[in-house]
Amino acid sequence: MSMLPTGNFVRGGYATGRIAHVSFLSLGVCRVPTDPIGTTTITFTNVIDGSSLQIESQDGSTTLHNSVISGTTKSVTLQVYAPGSPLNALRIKVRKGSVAPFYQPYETLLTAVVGSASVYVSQIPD
Amino acid sequence: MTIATDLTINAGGDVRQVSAFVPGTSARYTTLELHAFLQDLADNAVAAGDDLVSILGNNPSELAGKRNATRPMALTLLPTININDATSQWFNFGSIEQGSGNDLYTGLKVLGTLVASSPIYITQSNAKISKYWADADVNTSFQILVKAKAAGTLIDSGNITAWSRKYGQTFSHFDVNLAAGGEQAAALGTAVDGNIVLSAGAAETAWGTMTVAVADTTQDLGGGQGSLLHKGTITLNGTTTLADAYQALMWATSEASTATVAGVPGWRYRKLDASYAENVSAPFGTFAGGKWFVAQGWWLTGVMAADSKNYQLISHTGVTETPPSSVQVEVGGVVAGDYVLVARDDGAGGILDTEYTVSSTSGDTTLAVTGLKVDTPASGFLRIAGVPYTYTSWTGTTISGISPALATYASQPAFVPLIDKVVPALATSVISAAFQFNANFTCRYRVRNGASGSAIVPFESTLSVTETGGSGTAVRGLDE
Repeated sequence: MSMLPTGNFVRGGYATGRIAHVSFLSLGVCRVPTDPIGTTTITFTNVIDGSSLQIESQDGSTTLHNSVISGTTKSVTLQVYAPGSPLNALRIKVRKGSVAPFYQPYETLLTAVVGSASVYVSQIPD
Repeated sequence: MTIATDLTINAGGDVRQVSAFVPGTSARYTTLELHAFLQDLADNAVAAGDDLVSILGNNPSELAGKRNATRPMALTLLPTININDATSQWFNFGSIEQGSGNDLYTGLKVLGTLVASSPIYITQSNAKISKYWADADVNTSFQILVKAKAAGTLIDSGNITAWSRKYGQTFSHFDVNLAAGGEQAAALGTAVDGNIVLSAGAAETAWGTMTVAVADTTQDLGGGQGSLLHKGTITLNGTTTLADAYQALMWATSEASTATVAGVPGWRYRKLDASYAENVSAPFGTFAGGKWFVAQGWWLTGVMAADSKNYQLISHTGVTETPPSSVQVEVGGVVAGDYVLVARDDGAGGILDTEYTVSSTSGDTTLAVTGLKVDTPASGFLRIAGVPYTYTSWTGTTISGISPALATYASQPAFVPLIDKVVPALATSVISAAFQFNANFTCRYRVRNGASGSAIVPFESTLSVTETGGSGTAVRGLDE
């Protein structure tokens, strides 16, 4: 990978991208937006115990995570994709409508970047 | 049954009833219960069954304020979640707004004391809403949703009227505006109407004997209120009693009536003129103690003689009108040839012979009498400066048909005796002409006969004239 001029090119076998003719002398793999470039760990704090957490792409096409949170803090690790990928545009939903005490649905947006992020969840009683 | 089994929700957000709501059998869900149902679904990981709501979708609903089962909840369905009119029948105790505020179903609650199972009907835009409630609902809690807004426009500005008009009971109605959502109250009260004794069929028959027409008419009932404007006329046929007429009109304005009254369906007739106060319990006026207190604006004609005193009217201008009491004065214990004079008592042991002051020209047969009393007999006797005359009629302050023709008088004392004549052959009493009772007064009457063979000691006494008239009896002590 270090032999390639940019991070967009890797040797064959490292990635799932398509094979491309870079030059007359070398071959590489060109990343597509669906190739992860790393991960991000999103930490949710101040969550109401028993809430349902849904992380999905903002276009609603992909569910990236779903769970029922136990406790008040939850960390979720997700893959991060090349800048511009719609999979980096996240919609986060936190709901608690099945078991009392009930809370109004909480929803926020987040752009995933390699590394970590923190989301303070402010749920309002319903 | 549960709300989950009674409803389905498709992927498009259509909340629909599984089967039609059955009044009196199906149980309604509160708007809070609908919200709780949707929220319960909304935190599911995936949709399942026939209720396709999960965390994958948008928040389906929100309340104005916190959940509170003790007060009506204003629920907003988001953003594509929706109910239809049929499904709305399943809910109560709050309001449901949807379609970004374009549609609104508002709660309606009936309050008040009603006869058990008093039927309720609701009008909107002057039409009855098809019932989706049972009569027995009022026995526990009458709470429903009524569509107030459709496609962004309030229906009849959000106004409805809740009614209870069952023949045999007093009526009630209440105007409600539903535009604010939530739950709005309609205060109604009904009671068994003891004046209703006819069957509905008999009342309908009685309705057929009368006419009710809207048109200005200026009439004088004769009770001293003068000629007054009325905006409509109830015409009886002369044989229908007032009690039956009242019942006929209650039938005509009841929920089940198909009659047209004053140009509108009887079931929503309220009053004759917008400026009048309503008679909520009986649109044509109440009936109490054998007397019909006719609603404002109506003129009544064709009344049976026996009912001539059993009603009162209110003119367009609000003047209460009472029928006149026609009374007479009678003196008994007399025989043919006795002379009887009955006139007002002067309070000092004599006859009030200075009742009026009049002037006339020789030959006149009419006479202007300043201050002529309303309780002057329709025809009878007149004395001017002691000279007797008769008259045939009077109106206002003019006495007419005077006989013989008057002499010339200048500011002379005059009075109108109630009786001033010789007892005719075979008679044992004399009676005055009828006159309209106005107020109690005292008469002094004298009976004299000096004819040889039947002479009596002059008799004089007083009698009281009341609303039933007056009578006295002469004591004929022979003077021979």
